[in-house]
Amino acid sequence: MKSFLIKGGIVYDPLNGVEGEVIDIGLRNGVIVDPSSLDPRETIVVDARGMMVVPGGIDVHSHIAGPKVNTGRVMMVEDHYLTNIPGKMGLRSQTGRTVPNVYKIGYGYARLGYTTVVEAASPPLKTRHTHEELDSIPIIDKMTLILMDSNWIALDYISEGDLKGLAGYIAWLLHATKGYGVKIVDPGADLAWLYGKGYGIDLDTQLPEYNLTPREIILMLGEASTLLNLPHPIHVHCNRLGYPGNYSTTTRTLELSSKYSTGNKISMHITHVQFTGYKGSTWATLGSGGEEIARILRRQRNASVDLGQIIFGSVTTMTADAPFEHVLFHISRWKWAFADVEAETASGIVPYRYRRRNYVNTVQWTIGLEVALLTKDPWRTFITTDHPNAGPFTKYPRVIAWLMSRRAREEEMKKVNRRALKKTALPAVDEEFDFNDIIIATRAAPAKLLGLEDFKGHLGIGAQADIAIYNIDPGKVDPSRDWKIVEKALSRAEYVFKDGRIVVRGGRVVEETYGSTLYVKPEIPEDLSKTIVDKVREMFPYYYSIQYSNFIVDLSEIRKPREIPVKTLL
Amino acid sequence: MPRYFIQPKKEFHVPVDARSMSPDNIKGKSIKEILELPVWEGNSRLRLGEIFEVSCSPEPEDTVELIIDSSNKIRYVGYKMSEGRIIIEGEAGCFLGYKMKGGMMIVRGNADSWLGSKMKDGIIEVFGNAGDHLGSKLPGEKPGKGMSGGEIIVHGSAGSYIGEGMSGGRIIVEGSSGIMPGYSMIGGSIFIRGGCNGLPGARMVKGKIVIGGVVPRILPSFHPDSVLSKGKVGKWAVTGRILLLIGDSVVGGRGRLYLNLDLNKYLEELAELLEVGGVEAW
Repeated sequence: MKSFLIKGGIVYDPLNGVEGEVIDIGLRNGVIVDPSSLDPRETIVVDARGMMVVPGGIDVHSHIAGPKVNTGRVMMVEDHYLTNIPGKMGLRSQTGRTVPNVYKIGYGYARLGYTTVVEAASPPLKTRHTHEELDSIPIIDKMTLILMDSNWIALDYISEGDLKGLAGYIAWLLHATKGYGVKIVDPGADLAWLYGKGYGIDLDTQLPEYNLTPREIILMLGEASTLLNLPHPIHVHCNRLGYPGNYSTTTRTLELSSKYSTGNKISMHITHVQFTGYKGSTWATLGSGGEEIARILRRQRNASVDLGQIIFGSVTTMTADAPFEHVLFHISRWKWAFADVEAETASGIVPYRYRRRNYVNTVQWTIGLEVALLTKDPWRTFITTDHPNAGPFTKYPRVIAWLMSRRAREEEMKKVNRRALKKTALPAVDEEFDFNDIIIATRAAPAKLLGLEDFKGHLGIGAQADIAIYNIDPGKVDPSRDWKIVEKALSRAEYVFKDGRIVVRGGRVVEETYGSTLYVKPEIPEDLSKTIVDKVREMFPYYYSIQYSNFIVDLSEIRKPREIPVKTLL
Repeated sequence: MPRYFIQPKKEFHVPVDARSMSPDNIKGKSIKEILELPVWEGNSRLRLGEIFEVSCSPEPEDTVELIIDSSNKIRYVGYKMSEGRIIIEGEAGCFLGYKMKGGMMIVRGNADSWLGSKMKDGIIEVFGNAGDHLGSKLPGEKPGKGMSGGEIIVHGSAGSYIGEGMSGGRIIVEGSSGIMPGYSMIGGSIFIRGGCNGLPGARMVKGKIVIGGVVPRILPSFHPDSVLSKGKVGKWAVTGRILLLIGDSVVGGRGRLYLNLDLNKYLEELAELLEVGGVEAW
């Protein structure tokens, strides 16, 4: 493999404490090496003078693969009429707008300079499909989180209070599905949905059939994942998502994070906090709860959030929170797809359009930005749009521009609903992120959150050679004033290296490679493992319509598996 | 203004995307400029002059007129046209008059599917038959994204799904039609002199469908309103005992469906529910 020397670039590497220094970086065999050790005869020099050199981006929450994404594609046929880009030069054809095809997802992330993406929710039974689709996504490294909140076997363990058994079951489920972490979506709602309930379940609502509340589910799963020492903490989509007045549920959920945390480690990740930060009692009196969430988040050092920032325009919402999608279907009154995954979870898909003049949509737009700007802790607030729920991932540079520049926000505020702005704090917020904050929020902090800081998210020696180079000089450009230049530069990376190969050059994808699929393997004691397998084998015929042996995803079914070993505390 | 004759140089075997072939594009251009317009044959982009011969008659006319030879492979003729006249001397391809905004189009032979889809205004007249999805929306789009104005007159028969998602305008079919005319329409009117293959007006919210002939099956979500002596759309009318039905109640619709009682005896039991000669509700 060729080696490269990136010369004269302005490097931002927060994990190694580098902030805007000119450093040369050498790459060989897909890892970063000392530049002086490179053989000059075999090295290609990349001239990066006046450019920003940063680690490849990491997206902690995005829906890029799985059965619901595919159903979304089928549903949104009208997205495909005018968006076809024929394949050429060894690349595949691209299509789709709100739910792009796999190739557009891979190339789109690469063009933005992102090299690692987490598929946020996959039902265990259908994770084989998720892996098939992840295998087809080019360039990026990927991993998938597994839905466990309404899993009947997991709920059996939780209601028995068997923490060790639950931990063992999570370990078995992650092994069986080759997943990366625990996803909790509106805990308990999909279980209640089977009984015709599930609308607006709060933290202390009694769930049907099981003697449980969502609070107990979150606490037990959180404790179990701490016990297993999983690299990624529980990934929580809060209760009452999308209901007015739900910010209090979010703050109470945030407060749970300190109950089982150990040390300074982040023990709970609250996702797309924008959808769960509404004040007020009805849609007409909706207000922003961004300030309160930011206040609690500053205090709760063991929790992190990602924004789920709204981008105005058409989207296709898809979530495992089926009851809420049913509510949204009655608001939007158009298409709806719904699926129930036996004994595990459910999901719904509804297309929606965020309008600038709409009161509710404007309030939603301000919440994400308020949380990020008022918390002012890029190590714990990540930039996402919950693709494709709040906006497409291709609009991340726009979100970054809003965070970096008050002027950019003011420009947008001129076009949105005025009455809604009066109910929010955003017009009075002066905070602006700088380049280092953005690099932390999109690279260093996500790598730490996912427990991959050894080889991802930084440019130290030994790290994986995933590097993005943007044609922008942070010393010369004032992002507050020239936010348009920043947005343009970040939308199209000048160079992107994936595993030490140039995949993007001058904003165009030049080579198609395939990244690896990461999964965890928690090592649990032999006897516990045996009891879990016996119990699961015993329950399988009662709960599932398929055979136990057909459930387990084999390593041979994944294109490039990469194991992350985990030393558990069991 | 002159009249242009456009003839294919050869027989086409793959679809030709000729969306540049509209009076708006051609108006005020010399023959040399017209020959430079882009067209697609299959996946290759060509100049119009490479596959078509264009001649021009100096005869003075009030509008631009295009006379195009018969070929059912030429698609998108009259795309977004807003004025002038297009005459097709024989068969026409798909997507004729797609998103048309004005002017007139005459087809002397048969027209293929998607004729006048999403048109806003103008007149299309077909002397032969027309295909499916006449004046409709594209699949997946919201109801009401179909034809929103203008008039389509077919002297022969038409295929299935005519006026799908239409929100305005008028479709006249002198012959019969396939299944589901007026599917998810929210406005406008459809007149079919002959029969229809069943299920007219599924998911319709508003608008009017008049069918003069035999309809083998209707949806149960339509309820009878009155028995009239006449059903008409503009000057086109059918007379006899006409049953007016309101629906589709599946979507809470108030669309009007006029069916011929004399030819559809199974509708009598619906009509018996009403007083014979009921009041004209509309």
